[in-house]
Amino acid sequence: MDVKIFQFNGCNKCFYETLLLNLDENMNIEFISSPQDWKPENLDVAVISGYILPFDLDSIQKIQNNSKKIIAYGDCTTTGGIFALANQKGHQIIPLKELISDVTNVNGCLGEIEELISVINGEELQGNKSLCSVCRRKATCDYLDSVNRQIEIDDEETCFNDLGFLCNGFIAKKCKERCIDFNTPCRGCKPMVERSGIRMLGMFGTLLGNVEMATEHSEKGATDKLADADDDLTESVPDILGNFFRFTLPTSGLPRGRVQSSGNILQDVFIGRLIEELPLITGLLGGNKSISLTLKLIETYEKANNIEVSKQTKKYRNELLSLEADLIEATSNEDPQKYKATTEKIRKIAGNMNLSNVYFGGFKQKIDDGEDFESYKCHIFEIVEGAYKNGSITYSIDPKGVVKEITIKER
Amino acid sequence: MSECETIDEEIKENIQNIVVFMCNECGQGSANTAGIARMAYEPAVRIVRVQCTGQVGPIQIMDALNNGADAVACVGCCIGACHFFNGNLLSMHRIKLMKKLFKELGYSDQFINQYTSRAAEGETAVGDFEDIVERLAKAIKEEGTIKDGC
Amino acid sequence: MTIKEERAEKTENVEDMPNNLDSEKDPRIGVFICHCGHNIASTVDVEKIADYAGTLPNVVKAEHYMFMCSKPGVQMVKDSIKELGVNRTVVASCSKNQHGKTFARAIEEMGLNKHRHQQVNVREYCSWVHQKEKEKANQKAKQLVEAGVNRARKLEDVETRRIETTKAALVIGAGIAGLRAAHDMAELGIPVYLVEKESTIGGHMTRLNKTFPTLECPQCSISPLTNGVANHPLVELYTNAHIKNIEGSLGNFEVEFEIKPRYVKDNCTSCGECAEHCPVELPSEWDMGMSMRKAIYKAYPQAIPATYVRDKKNCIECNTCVNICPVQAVDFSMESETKTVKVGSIIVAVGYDEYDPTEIEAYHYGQEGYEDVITQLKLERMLSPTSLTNSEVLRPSDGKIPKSVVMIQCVGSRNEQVGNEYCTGVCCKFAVKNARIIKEMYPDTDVTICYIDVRTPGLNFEELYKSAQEIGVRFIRGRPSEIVRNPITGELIVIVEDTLSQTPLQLGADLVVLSAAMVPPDGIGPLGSKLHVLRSKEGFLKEFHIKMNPTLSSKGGIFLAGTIQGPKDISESVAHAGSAAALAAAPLVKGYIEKEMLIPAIDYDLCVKCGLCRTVCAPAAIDIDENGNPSVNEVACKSCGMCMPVCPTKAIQLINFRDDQLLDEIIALSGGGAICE
Repeated sequence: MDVKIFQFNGCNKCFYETLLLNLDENMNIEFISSPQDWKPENLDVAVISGYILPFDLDSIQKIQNNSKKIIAYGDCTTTGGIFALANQKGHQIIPLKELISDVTNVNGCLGEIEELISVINGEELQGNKSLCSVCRRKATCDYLDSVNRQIEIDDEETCFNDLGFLCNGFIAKKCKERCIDFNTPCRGCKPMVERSGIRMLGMFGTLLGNVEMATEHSEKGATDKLADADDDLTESVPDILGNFFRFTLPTSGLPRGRVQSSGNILQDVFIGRLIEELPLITGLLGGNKSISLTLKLIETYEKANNIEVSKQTKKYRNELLSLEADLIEATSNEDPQKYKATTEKIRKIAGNMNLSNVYFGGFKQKIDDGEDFESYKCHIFEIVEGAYKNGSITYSIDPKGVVKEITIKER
Repeated sequence: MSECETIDEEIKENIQNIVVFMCNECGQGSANTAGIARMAYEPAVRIVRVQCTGQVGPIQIMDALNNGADAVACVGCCIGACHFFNGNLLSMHRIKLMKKLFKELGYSDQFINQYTSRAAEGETAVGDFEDIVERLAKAIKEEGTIKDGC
Repeated sequence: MTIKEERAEKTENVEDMPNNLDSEKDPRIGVFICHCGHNIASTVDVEKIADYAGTLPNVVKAEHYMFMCSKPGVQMVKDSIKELGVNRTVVASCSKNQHGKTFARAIEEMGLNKHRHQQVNVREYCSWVHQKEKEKANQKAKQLVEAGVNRARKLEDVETRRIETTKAALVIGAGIAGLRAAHDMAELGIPVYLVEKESTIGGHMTRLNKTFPTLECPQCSISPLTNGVANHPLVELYTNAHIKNIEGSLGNFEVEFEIKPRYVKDNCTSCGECAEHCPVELPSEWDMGMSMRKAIYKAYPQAIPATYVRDKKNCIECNTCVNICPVQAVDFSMESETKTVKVGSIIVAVGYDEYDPTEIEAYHYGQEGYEDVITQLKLERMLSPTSLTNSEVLRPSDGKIPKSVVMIQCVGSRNEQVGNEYCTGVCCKFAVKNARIIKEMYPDTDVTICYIDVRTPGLNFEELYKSAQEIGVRFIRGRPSEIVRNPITGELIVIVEDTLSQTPLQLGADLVVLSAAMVPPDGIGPLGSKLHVLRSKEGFLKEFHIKMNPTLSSKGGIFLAGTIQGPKDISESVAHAGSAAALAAAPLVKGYIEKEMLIPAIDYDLCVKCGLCRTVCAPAAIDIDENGNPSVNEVACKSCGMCMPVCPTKAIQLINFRDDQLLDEIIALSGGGAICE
């Protein structure tokens, strides 16, 4: 089978994951990292990954004209992905299905390679088993008293949402990366319903039904109406866009944002996000450099705020950094065996390819069964306003922990 | 001063559809009372009868905005008097979050609002409608319409 | 393709319709626009609207007529069903409240389910309110009719089910309200289970000395009722019993309650020998400590049931009572019994508790050295005929008659600090009553009432208040800030500012009586949750509608009687209970209830078992089984639809108000055209 993998814009993580397709002898894989330069020729299957901007339309047309089957692989292509958060600042990242109606979508951030393989082979993706069905926590969905932006990780039985800690698991498909197994709440990269962000917002808003709400007298009618003033409720959910619509903004039905852009898509993704979500975000969109980016971000904050880090933690972090070097080597050599071995080792320490286990102050879940987890466990950290700089990454956050500015001198 | 008026009037002329979800008890009750008393209000107001404002979720609100509504509002019973206990409160919470969402996207948060009214007092409904139009006109004037997001 | 176009495409294709009850693949809609004389026609061009309606998909008939609600108008609708096979109707005229039922009934007569009718209001919502803006009014009317047609296209059948009711009722609580309710229902021929947690019936009323405004003896007033109820052939009385579990819904409840053992059999003749010889003596709770009782006792002489009861905790098991009872009624081996009954209605009449002023530290209630600070209920016991003080008002500390009595109002009421903002509404009345009684008994004693407002509304109460003033009771407007005790003399001093003359006062008081609030009774939390009824923010059980239905709770089939719904006096409690009894009896006497099955449908493939639908359901009509699957209790459901927006996966949808049905209506009203991708 003639399969060509096209990478548009983005972090390339899904693109690199397709290296694993080379392990299958039945597939004849070619990687095309600059589709605009590609000379059109007929092919069986086109796999498109990365996000699409308006200037990519011609390339997409080229591919559509020459392919029997088109597969969108990864959230960037299927629903806009995490980079589409930049649409908040007016960018125009479009999901592929808005341009081509006959597309098979394999979503996920990182997209699941097993699903891609079955789709390429002509199988249909299996049903809609929800993430909650495989989560070790149990939900009661009683009304909440407050929203918590961080929780102690010791409680492993209560649903995150019952603890006031937003988790989008209710609308998520049973997935491979399983952030929830690493005490990281789901952010909905594989939704199983349409307009998942809006639905989850409705659900979470209802959970707060017991929290007092400010109302005022409408002068004309002299009855209560919703007050315009900010109150504790709005304060407690600081970044609705980033937490509910992280991967699906273009397909959510919301109008395109018009917040002032910094001029750079990557920076626009980060600005407005919350400090406690940053490690997961860099873990998602850092591509090959996810590990070093995430660790730089974390370490500069730890140093500035005197967060103690144990020797065990440092040891694991260094291991991850050396694994990153291996990963870069594997991908630049297009070596699937090495890629597979390296990513398996990364998953062992960091939990999954989204680095869900990595966090401020340590790790969120035990790595090796025999060890004393206390020595590298993370704890709730205090949000401190300020500017943080560490070599190639500089960022500043406001008193609520919202990122105001960021520059990443990489790539 | 006259310039202000003409701009405002122009804005109001261009308001075509305001979808108002009114609950089966006080909401549409007050609209009916207003109708019986022949109280005039902005024709752009389109009433959708729902069982309780608690039945209205972000999906319905976005459906309305996505299909051309200039603004959306929910009108329910007074706080503490909801026929089904707390439907109006839940609706308020969800709308409050939606407002914040619109602010995060850089729009005014005045396109969605929650009101209450009293079934026997038509002026509460009309007052709510007037408030919606005023806020909408002000938001459009200062920050542009939500239809700009195209 | 825009979202609107996509949706419009889906709408036409009946097979894509997700509603399950409708098997018709061919919606045939009849649209009728009413002139309503000039009311609609003078503003709205009805002919044009009818023509427009005729162009909409699935509309097979579009007409306009002068008066749709008239006989020929209704006949038009019927004829369209008969002649053109119309299976859904839209009438654009007045409001649903006004004539919705007229047309619904008409189509039902023609064999269609009455929920296939959609009423569009172009009168109150359009022609009457936009008389000066004809062009816009017409545009709006067009859209309203289109929205109605869109809605009608997907209307589903809704069944009206007749549910048989169990002809029996449960009354929880045998105070004045519970007794009244039980009696009234029994008189209607309904068997009543009356469950009371204490060992005697009668509630707080039996503990009062005199009732206002007539100063009658409450024991005498209530006695016919207590005897009447206890002896009524249709009433089964269970004392010393509490509710364990309640299942079911309106018309068919199953209630489990536990009856604690009395340790005295029913053949007790109430002779009192056991109590006379019992060696254990302790203060009587019923008497607020104003008298002593034994470990085997009857709460008060006229108590019903007259059977004695043994206090197992304090009994030393000397067996004296066992041996001395002439009819061998005492039996220590008696055990708890659990009983399960099936009833159709439940009345909750569990009353109130007197607020415990201990938490108001400035008044030192209950503290050592402050025995002379008492509550009104304790005063009532002191004054009553069988009290230890021989009906005299005596200071608990030294037994002397007080030379000065100070009553403090609003203790625990109107007090944000302790969390009760409300005014109990009864305390001024009984304080005035008691003050007058004390002053009449002891003309030389100074009696002062410290008040914020004196609230004695209603016939005969202003007269009572005036008579108290005339007899010499002093009224000082001010809320005392503190009660202090002179450490040497032991005298109590009430510190209060007379706000009318703006003079700070220090009132010497031999006896301080606190008018404590009425608060929800202990244990109402667990009972309320067993009943699945809602509580107001003050903690009382919440009525369905404060004006139109104060005796129905938030859950169908469960009614409220008396002070459990909010503080009230005895007359109001009795009236309240009568109303509850009538409402509770209605479905039982009729034998059935008719309910429209406008309930949510659940798609178990999409359900993620989060349980939020159960949390938001106010009448507790959604149950979750052990596998986490929700199911709807059809009888309890109130069709509010609040379960819909909370479901993250759109698994639960209210019939005829589904997301896609509402969307169709919204599309027509929003003017079409997407705002964004």
